[in-house]
Amino acid sequence: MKWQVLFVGACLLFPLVLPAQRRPSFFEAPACRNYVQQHKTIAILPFYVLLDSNRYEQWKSTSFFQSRQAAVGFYFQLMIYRMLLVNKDRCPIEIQDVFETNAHLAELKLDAEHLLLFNKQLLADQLGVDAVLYGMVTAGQEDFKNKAALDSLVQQMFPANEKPDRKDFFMALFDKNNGLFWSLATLRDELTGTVNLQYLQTFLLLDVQSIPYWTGKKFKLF
Amino acid sequence: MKTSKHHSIRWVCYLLTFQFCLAVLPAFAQGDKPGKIYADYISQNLDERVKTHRVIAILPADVSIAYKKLQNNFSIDSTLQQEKEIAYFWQQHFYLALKNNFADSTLHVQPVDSTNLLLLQAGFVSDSFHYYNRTRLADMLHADALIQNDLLLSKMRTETEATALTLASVAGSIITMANAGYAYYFPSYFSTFEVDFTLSIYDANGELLWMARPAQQYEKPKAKGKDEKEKRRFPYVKP
Repeated sequence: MKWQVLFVGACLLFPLVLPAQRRPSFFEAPACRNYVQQHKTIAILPFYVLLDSNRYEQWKSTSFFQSRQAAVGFYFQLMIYRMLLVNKDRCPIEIQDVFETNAHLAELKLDAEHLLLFNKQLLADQLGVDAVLYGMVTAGQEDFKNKAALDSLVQQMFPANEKPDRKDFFMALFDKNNGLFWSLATLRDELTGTVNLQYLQTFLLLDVQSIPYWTGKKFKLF
Repeated sequence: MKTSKHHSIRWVCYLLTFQFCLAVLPAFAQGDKPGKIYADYISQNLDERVKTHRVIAILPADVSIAYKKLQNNFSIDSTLQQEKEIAYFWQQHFYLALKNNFADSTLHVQPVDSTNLLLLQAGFVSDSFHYYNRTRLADMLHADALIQNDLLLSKMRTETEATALTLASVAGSIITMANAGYAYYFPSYFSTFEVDFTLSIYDANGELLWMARPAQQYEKPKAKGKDEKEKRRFPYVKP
């Protein structure tokens, strides 16, 4: 009888335990809510994307690989923009058109790689918005070289006591006067096997609903 | 004792079946049913701006092919070539479908060869598509509105099969669109390729006026009543 009770218990607990493992790490500045209330317009920047170059050994040095990474970055940017537009009743913030944002970035000669280290506070000011949303994604195997560099960068952006241990996906909001005020870092198992934009899109939709501008109820995906 | 054991096993089975249903049933409810395209987003200025439009240009589609698993014979050049072909194919057929179904005879849809020539003359590079704001593109094309198509095709099989089937799917849906007016059908085989398609209309001032993602995964805004639904229909074409 004991094993039956254990089995039923395990069945009931399984759905509760699984999402808990994937819970993202958040950072929220104490004044985050104040900033969110004051903001009128935000810009979404192209994401910085690192695909696992070890898996594509034969063409990792080509410009094609670089352009694919950039394309995925633009795809993320466009996806978030469209998702927030469609759900304007749940996320009442004005969003700068992404093509407008990108045209400004081109004028400033900033591509995804340069954006990584560029001061986002200054950038928000130059784009004429109150805040910018910036993100990074790594997709592929666990142990590729570039990921270590990205991990350390994310660690630097998080305050000492908030350092996340999982960071395949990182998204942050920067206020034009006060810098970083919100961020999310998470690990997605879906990214470790294949590089598929449909997968990326699915988890992106889940995580975007965590941004502090989201005021309405969260929607379900499936 | 035996009865009690059987009883608990039966309950475990019920429980597992219930959990299976919870996980699997919503997936069946996901399929895109054929139907008209309705906007997921419309600007407040849509009606007002559409009335002022006289020349509409269709941009070459922004096509990306994402492979779930790379084939052994994968080549960069052929992928790029394939994307380019689909982009122009889609643009050309969208032009024909739209031109045949215009509601207003004073509207002029710019022929795609003129559009592409103007883009070429203005030094437009398709690789940097994302770096052009829509105002600049409208200026280049002397158009009042721009129609933009984004296509993401993934989960392909072999390269030959993928090319043939993708082009067939695209042609099938476009022809359906042309025949049924503004109606846009997503054939069932489209879903096997996970086609993510977004159709947007931009005003010459850069404002996004109308946008639809028929195969989107997230919850769609629910139209309240028939009028609201009609308002979300693709503008310019016959009702």
